[in-house]
Amino acid sequence: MEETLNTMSYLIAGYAVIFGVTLGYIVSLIVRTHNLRQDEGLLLSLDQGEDEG
Amino acid sequence: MDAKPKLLSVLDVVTGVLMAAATLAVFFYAPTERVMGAVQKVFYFHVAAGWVGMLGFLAALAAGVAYLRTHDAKWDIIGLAGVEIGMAFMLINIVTGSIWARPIWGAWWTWDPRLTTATIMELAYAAYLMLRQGIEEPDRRARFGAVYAIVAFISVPMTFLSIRIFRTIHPVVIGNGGDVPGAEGGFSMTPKMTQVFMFSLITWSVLFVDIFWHRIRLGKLANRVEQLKLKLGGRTA
Amino acid sequence: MKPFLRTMGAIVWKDLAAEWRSREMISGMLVFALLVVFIFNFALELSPATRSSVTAGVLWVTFAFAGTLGLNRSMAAEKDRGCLDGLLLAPVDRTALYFGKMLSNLVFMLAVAVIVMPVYSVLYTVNLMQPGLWAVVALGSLGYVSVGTLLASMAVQARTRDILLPILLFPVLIPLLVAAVKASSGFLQAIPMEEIWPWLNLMIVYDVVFISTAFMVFEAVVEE
Repeated sequence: MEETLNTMSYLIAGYAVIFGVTLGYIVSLIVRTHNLRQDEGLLLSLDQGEDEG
Repeated sequence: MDAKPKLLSVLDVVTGVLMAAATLAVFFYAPTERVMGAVQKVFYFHVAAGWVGMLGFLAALAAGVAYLRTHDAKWDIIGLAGVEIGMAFMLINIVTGSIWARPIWGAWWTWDPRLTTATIMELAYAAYLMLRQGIEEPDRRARFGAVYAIVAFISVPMTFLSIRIFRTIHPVVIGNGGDVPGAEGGFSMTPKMTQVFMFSLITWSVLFVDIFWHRIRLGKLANRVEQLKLKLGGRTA
Repeated sequence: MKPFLRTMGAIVWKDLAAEWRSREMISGMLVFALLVVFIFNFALELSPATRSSVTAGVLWVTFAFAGTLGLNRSMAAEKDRGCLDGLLLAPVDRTALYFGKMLSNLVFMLAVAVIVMPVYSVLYTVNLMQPGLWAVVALGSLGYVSVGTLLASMAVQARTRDILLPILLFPVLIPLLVAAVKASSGFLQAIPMEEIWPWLNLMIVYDVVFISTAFMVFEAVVEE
């Protein structure tokens, strides 16, 4: 009968990485979408401003 | 600006619930493995992340072929989305594999075929992103991206094979066959383990679809902004 | 088929003639390759005992590095002198361009190998003049230039072209290099042929797969 290894800290580290990377990627998606939305709004208003001018 | 589809909002909620349920199942429902102890539970999400990572790269390959046939910008957006998501999930796969290997195999890193191939893949797709960054013209960027996505994916099985043959001829360095899963660090799954494993696979596939969808929407937005910039730039110049 | 071969021949001829006049590429690759061999000598302390096991590795790393130098030069020359645009205006088969460039790159690779290997033999008194070893060099160089020509023609069209080629090339090249190193050291250490065959087979598969892939996608790389 082999002894069960105490590997709890590795388990916690593993799931910290899993959720860290996943959440990090989701946050990067949100930030990039947000920035692009702002850019798009600005460019659209510029575009319309030029059409009138 | 297109509104977020209702189906996507539903999918977001479903993904969140499934992820919470799968995490609870891993920690509280799945039994602790007798020899390896708690760290064995990394296995469920480790394999699931590797699976969806491969799905991402496979999507990039398919999108690459489709782009070269149709020259439709939509396929370029899908290809880039696949590579990016594949890289994020493959990174999870590699790092969790390494964390598992430390107590079980006694080293953070071994030159195991799977581990090595996954890392070479990660490097190849990093090269894909660098190639895209170096090209300003959208059409050319899409064509080169498609070509490299195809070339990179084709090399993967051969890389795996070469390291596989390398290992069987080469003497095994760590332990006695320590880096061949199944020889050491292998285990047979109990029914409860199989249930959690299958549930994790399904959950991560849903997560993949959800993130993929969001990334494609981001890609479309980025394309619109780039078009607008070109349009305005052309007028002021 | 005839015009295809004629275009291909014309490109090879043009490259060889230009190289014969300037000799800048071969001499560059060659000096670089010899320098790498010398650096390895001091970095690894190539004593007679370690020599037999690392020779194959040293040779292939040398060829791989010298090769990127040559590929970059050969494709950048096309791009900068406007040759590529001229060739693209001509009503010729695009894949003939690929095979032409690939063949001339292959000639340059083999030319470097033909000089480096005897020099290495003399420097370290190992016999590299074995037919089996030359077969490995031929198969390896063919695979190398088949992917290398395709990726170099993309890399030279990018902003970051000098650092881009090795980054694009090496991850894809790993199976070929692993096979080439193992097969070469197999011949050098005279291990039985049935242990070398898997590596030779892998190289043949690699060559066939990447030549046909490049054949299918090359048009997308040069189209304007």
